[in-house]
Amino acid sequence: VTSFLIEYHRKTGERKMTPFRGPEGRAKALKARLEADFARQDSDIEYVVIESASEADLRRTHRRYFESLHELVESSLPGELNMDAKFELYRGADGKYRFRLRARNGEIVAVSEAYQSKASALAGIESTRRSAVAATVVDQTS
Amino acid sequence: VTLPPLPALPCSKAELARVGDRMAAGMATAADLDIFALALEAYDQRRSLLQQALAVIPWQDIFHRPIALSVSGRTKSIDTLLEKLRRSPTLKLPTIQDVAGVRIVGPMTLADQDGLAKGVAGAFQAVLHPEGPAPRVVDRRAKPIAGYRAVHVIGRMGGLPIEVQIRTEMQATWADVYEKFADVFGRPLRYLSPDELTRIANAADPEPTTPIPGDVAQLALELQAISTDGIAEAEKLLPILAVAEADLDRTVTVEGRDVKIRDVAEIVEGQRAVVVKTLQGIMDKLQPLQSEATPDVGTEGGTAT
Repeated sequence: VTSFLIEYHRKTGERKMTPFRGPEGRAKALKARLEADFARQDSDIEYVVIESASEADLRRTHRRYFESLHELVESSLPGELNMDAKFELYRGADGKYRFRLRARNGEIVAVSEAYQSKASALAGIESTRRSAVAATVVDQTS
Repeated sequence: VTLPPLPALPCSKAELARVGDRMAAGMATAADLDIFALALEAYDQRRSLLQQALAVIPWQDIFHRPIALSVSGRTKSIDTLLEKLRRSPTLKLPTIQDVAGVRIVGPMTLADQDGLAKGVAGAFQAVLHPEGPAPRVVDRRAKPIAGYRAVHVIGRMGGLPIEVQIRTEMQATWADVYEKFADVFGRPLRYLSPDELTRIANAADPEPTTPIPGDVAQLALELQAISTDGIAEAEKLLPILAVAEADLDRTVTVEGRDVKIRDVAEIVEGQRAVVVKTLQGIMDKLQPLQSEATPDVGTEGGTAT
């Protein structure tokens, strides 16, 4: 069993953790926590000692000290929604460079033309990113 | 488990109550802080012993399957204790139930959670304090506080209360999300009821008494609903689906009503969609709100030493 002394900044999520082990670990950790707590200047800083069999247990029962709000919310979303859309740069069997736009749900939304060099494919990504924002919709089905 | 002798409080409970009051009023003396430190040590020793006792109980016998429970324990931070005392002046330090607490988190159904609560209460009574009053089981699933759902067991060891918080994984994650949300956007959010949040969200002018902006109150309301509606419903219905998913036309009884498994599946899917939509909405709103609350949130700079 280990007593973990945690100094945690509520607003920034910054954290310092010191494990106390051995038969005196719990009492020593609590003493250190109280000394820090009595001398506390910043009301956003929290001093806490948590005792658990392992750090993994602690990370499971007190996720808030270890994960950002963004990470916590994101991990609660079903897996396929767990990421933002992204451009993937890849090199095909023909040796040429292409990129594709993959949506949050994993589907490929668009595939680029082939580029001879990696640099020009990267430039293509930037160009697509910029022009897509301002692009108008032209319905060619009607 | 044989209990070693437990340290007594350094003073009477009446005196400890006065120490707490002076600390809450910002008028504590050095002697008060010494008494407080000794008292907290007395709580923490009991907490640690209880945690050790709970660790040797073969819980898989309750669940009839191997189950990975994570157990940890702590004594409450000073500012949270003092906030509590300041919020309700009739409350005294020795009457606060969760000065020391143990938390158990695991992949449990609601029935598992009830079983574990019963087991913990039994451990309190049979092993740790045979002569004391029966431990109290507080079901915060039936009566959530600011969205928080869990089952608590409060027992006494050597005259002091220890609280055991039992949370399913969904309940635990929600509680961490909500408390983290309050860390970033305002600690008072932890205690605001849906009614109070609605009032703040709809107020034309920001109220000076609550430094919570309207859009933050709205997000908090949505987060609380994820717990009290989405997760509560999912936890009730998911086990039914897990057992009977193959047979969609079978009828089961849920809370006294006969429903088709097909309808249960539809309700769960609907709840899931609402939760996902709310969480995505929160993610979308998080970025601009966070940069207002503090410029450097999101860069988790923690270092484990």
